[in-house]
Amino acid sequence: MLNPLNPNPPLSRRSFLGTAAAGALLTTAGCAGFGGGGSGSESDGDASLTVTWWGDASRTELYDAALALFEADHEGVTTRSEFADLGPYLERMATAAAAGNLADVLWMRDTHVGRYGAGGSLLDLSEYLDDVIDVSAIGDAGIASGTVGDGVFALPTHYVGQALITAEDVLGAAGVSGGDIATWDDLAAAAREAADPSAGVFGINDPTLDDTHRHLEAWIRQAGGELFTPEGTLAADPAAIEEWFVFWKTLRDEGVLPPADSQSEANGAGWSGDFLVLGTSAMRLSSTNHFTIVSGLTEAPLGLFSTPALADATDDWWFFPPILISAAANTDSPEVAAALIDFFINDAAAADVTRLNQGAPSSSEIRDGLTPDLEGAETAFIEQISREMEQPARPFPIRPEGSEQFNGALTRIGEEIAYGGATVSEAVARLVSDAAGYLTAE
Amino acid sequence: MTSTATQPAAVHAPALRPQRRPWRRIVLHGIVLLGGIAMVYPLLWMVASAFKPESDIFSDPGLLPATFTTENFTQGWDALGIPFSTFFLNSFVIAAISVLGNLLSCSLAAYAFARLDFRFKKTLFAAMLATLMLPFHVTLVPQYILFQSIDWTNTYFPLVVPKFLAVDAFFIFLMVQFMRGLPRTLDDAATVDGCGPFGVFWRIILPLMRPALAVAAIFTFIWTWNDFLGPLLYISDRELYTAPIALNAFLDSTGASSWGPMFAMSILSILPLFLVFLFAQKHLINGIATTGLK
Repeated sequence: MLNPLNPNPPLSRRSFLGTAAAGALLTTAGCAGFGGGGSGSESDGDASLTVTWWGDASRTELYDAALALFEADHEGVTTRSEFADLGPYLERMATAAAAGNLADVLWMRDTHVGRYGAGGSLLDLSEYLDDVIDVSAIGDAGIASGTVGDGVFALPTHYVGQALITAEDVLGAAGVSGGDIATWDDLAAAAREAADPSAGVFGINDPTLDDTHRHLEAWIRQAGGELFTPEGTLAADPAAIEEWFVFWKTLRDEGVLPPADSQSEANGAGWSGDFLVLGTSAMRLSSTNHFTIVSGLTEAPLGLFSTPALADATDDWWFFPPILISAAANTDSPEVAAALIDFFINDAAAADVTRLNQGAPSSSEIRDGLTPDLEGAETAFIEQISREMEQPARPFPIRPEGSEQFNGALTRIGEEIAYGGATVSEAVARLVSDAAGYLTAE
Repeated sequence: MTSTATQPAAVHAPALRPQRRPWRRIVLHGIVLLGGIAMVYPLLWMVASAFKPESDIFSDPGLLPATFTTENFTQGWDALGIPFSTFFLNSFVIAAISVLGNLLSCSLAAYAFARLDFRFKKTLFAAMLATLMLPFHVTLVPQYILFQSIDWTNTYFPLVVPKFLAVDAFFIFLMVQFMRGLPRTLDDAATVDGCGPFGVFWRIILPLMRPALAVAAIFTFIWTWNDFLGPLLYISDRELYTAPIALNAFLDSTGASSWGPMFAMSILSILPLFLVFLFAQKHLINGIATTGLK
């Protein structure tokens, strides 16, 4: 970098000062963000745990309060919480897992536990079951929902279910009651009755444009099938998937469903822009726990009912997607992490704080303990889940790697069909052939 | 156009103009205005929504709130248990240091590429341009592992230290282009007067490249202020959150998001950008026009 004319240029005083000042500003800026980083754990029973979940500030307030209870019970243990909305949360988790720097205890999606469990990022909880983590109240089904291969890499803290939410006044005006809807045919008939396109009222929201497709999975299980094989490939009968999309396409063509563009726009606006909340739709399929959200946003009377079934449905189709909790393989304090997992599953005082924020508690004891304190929508929600959990349920295969991609592909073909870009059979054929590429047996 | 063709037009022009011009102007202005309204509508909608009660945001589509409230602002300000001013200050500190770092390091690197001769200059320049084309996500994980191994996670170092190492190839390229337009005779004159390479840079080049520096400063500020992924990955303490990360805390895609407070705080968080752009607009356009970027 030398100038041939002047090999040894003197460094001027001004330029030197300028550079030095910049360096000084960087290193000594009196700002908290420039202190030492990281948080190691100390020995001798002292531990410092990082705990992370997805959600917003209001969820964090509840879970921070629960963590404070845990700290009070466990001397020498300090916790630090992190949170982000689901999308960024998963992005951060992917990066942190790649770097072996996952939070000690973290909430896990059922759609991701397969990948992270098999990838060695999560702590195998098998050796802590019974000793540290009491699993008596969540049962074998609970353990199975976090079992990947031979290891238990996650346990459910909560469950969500699938439900039908109705705007009783809109349905009632058409002379229908949500309680009479038992089958998908009943649902279609009720939606047709309630729809009044001239008044801008739709019979039911279009579920094929949603970003999760658990009602389709219910449909497939009711028909005796499964979405995925235990090996991680696609198990669903393409004909059953086609029937699902044809069912909704028929209603859409009749004007019973909202037009595709209005539905997409409403989905983008979140709950406050939902047609059911706005009073312009009679029904929607939802997660059961969404009932509490919808109830908080509208004054209109709402009904909560079980997902309709096929006329000849198998009786053990019921399933409950779990909200899982895991510990990181890279944690320095696996014992304490396991104790914290037990705390979030079994501690009544913690449940008293976090309540139904993430769904229905996985522990039947905790659920029963909470019920007397609940009111209105919360009671309806937890009673429905508890009632449905008594139904026979055959095993629910764990989401394989690629299941997220499959979920996204379902949304995409749903849009293509709704916007008229492809016929149902074309779209489903493509879905199935594409899935063969990314849903592969281990 | 030939001169014979233009001449009659020029003769007739004074008579024609008063009649033709207003029409064309009105139509053109109308089109521009419509385009402008379409562009600014989402912003206006956000401003209007920030002053509506939560329940009206999606049910009352009008731009004038039926019920006017400032509750979203008061609620949003303290929603995370830490006043939002902390997040603004954090964002500001990071943005200010980043601006300083980028101006210093990128101008030095650009000077080397534009004026000095050294081995592998062309190869290195090509490599620098290649980093411009590399998607951010490719380097994300290795970078994270690097910063984690030196215990820099949960500090601002990963966000600002790279700026002092001239990693923003875009600005280097921009400044190289600008420097190439400066006459070399000035360098030579300074060298004759006893300036070394650094002296030439500091006394001649830097003062002359003010427009390019302004562009780099403004863009760095805007990009750092808006950066989401960087702080998301590296910052976990709530006290250290930047404004975009704090805004994310209003969102719950699996439940009910607090749109009102989020819109209110979003408005506050775009104010600095708005002001920066407003006051620096002249330099920005000047800088872009003189660096050959179009």
